[in-house]
Amino acid sequence: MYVLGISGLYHDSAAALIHNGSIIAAAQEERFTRKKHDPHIPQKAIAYVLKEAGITGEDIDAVVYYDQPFLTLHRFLMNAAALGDHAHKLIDGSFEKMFAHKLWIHNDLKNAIGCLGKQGKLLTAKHHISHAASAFYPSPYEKAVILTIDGVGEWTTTAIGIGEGSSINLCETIAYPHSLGLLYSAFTYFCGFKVNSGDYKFMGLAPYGKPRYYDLIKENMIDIKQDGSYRLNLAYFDYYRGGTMINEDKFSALFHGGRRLPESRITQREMDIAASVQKITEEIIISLASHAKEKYGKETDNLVIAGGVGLNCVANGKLQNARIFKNIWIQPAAGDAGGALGAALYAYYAYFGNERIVRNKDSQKGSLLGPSYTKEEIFKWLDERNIPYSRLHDNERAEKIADLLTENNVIGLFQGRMEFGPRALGNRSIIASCLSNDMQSYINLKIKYRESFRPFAPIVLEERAKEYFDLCSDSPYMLKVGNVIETRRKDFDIEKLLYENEEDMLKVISMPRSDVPAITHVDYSARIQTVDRDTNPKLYDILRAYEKKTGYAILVNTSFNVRGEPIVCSAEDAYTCFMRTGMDVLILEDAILFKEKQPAFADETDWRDTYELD
Amino acid sequence: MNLTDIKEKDLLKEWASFHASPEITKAILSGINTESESYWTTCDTSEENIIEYGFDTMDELQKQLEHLLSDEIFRDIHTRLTVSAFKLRQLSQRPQHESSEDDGENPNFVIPDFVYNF
Repeated sequence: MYVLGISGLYHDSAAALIHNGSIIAAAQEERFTRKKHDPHIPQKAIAYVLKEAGITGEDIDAVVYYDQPFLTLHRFLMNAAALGDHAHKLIDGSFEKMFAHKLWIHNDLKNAIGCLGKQGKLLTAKHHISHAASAFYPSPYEKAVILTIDGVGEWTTTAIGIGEGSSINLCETIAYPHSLGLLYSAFTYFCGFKVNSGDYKFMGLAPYGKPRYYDLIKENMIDIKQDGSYRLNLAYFDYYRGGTMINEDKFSALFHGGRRLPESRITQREMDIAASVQKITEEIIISLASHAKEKYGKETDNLVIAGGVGLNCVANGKLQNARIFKNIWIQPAAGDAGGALGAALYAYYAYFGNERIVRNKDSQKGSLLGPSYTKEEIFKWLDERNIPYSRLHDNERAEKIADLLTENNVIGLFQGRMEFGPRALGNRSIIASCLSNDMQSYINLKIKYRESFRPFAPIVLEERAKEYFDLCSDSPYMLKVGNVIETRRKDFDIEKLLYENEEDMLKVISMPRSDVPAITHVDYSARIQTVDRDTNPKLYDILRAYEKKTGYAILVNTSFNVRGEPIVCSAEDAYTCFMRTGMDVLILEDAILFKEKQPAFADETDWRDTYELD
Repeated sequence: MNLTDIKEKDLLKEWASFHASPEITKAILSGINTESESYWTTCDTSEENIIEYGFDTMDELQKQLEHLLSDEIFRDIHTRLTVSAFKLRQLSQRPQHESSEDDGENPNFVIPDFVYNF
């Protein structure tokens, strides 16, 4: 039985195809259209997943959308009625999208697929059920407590449920407009970053600050109960009126100044706000998990998480180390894209009543669920364009790449199937040595063209992870943050250093914090990806070869893109990104390309105008 | 004709104004309640988590809206909503050069950074 799941019309549209419960393919539309967070009907992603399975729309048994339009309409109308005479902005902002597009999802999907499968009908799953399903069904657990947290889906912003076998039941929810995801986004906006794409930067900024605004925010903006449930003081927000995220006057009065303008200098205030909001977020998530454990987790020590807030890997790491649940599995595509997968899985197991088989590791297949190229296709592509390259043979591939890494080359690594979800996990990655003090600044400024303060994540052999980090579990999807162990640390007082250097982050970032400086954040934290041989043997072999040469089983891994660009999807995307940036070497499957041997790259456009800054 | 200027939108604004009440505002835009011990809401297990969705005609949509939006407050709005859906859909399907910049079908359309559109 083929089931096609779809997310779209909000942000991060995606398609996912399952066959008899097994994930065949999943991909975000942005990777094909090259528009980050593309919200449109995922026409190209749909075409890809069908092609991967070798089927057409007529072979699909069911098509499932990850949201229920009538429930969203209900919220929109009730919100408007609650605003009364002040509903103009809300209605002006949402009227067309609701009535011209969202209600017509069945028609748009029919057009995109060619038909609505064998039955000619569209199924719609609730938004948080889709998230819950994306977290539970691929997890390695027969039974688990489920926690979903995002901005909003229909009415729900936070939900707790139980998954067992093939069934999922949501038990308790928190409703719009009270939303942890929207609270985080509001502060992201206030600190001058973009809502959605900037949330991750805001999280990365937190370690530079102290939570000086923690009490102020808790006293004025949010009430958190002992059971983790919460409500916002709506006077500080404007999103429920259809305006900007925040009430700027109220925010400015509380934080003694207006919103930071995008791209302007980041000051200690923004760093301290980020630290404060991060602390509150962690506190809520830990309280939610404690409540879920106490009320629903008596018979299970497993927790699964999805929803955009599930991408807050710092909070995830704290939650893991709090040991409320022994085992935690987080959907790698925790945001809306993963809803496509969840919707398909929910239909297969809960709607059609199929039996679920639990796999030991998990059923997510390393989240390597996107397009791939054979080495012959790559050679042909390069030959047709007269691009200079050499062929790598299996027995020398890892060795050669490790050699180049030890010489401090920055390498674009394009191999196997593209990742599903926002993180590059070694198949569409830029990798480099993490031993150099300058590598973080170098990659940020010369290759990624992004803010210098942003940290880089390590990939580490799973069996060596404890030699570097204090994380008490594996982290195959780069969704948990742990600390570099004390014996590797160097003295580093971020507050003092920022003060002494007049808040000049660039100077401070180049100062070593451990013996693996490029992946050690200023608070000694690291967003860890553990690598095992079964999931990604090619990446594993590179790490092994590098360890043999240097004694370090760890490398920098960052997504293969520049700022504002979706992660590369095709060989052409990869070559273009390679040529436009300061990368030294490109590995395209078994072809190796050196920058100095490439002909001059003719860029028809100023590529910095191609991608809107995120 | 600009999609944002159609009269159904004004009718919806009128509806929102007409039905505004402190009770609805309190119920939907509820504030902090320091006396409450919890903000959790227990899920209604009778609600379907997954349903068939679709309509082809105005009559089909109207019937579904009457069924799903059955509260008193919605009593006089089903027809307006149905007309809005069919009218806006038709207008949004026009050739691209005639439609507004904000048209979700336009591949160049980008959600403004300050609007978090739900």
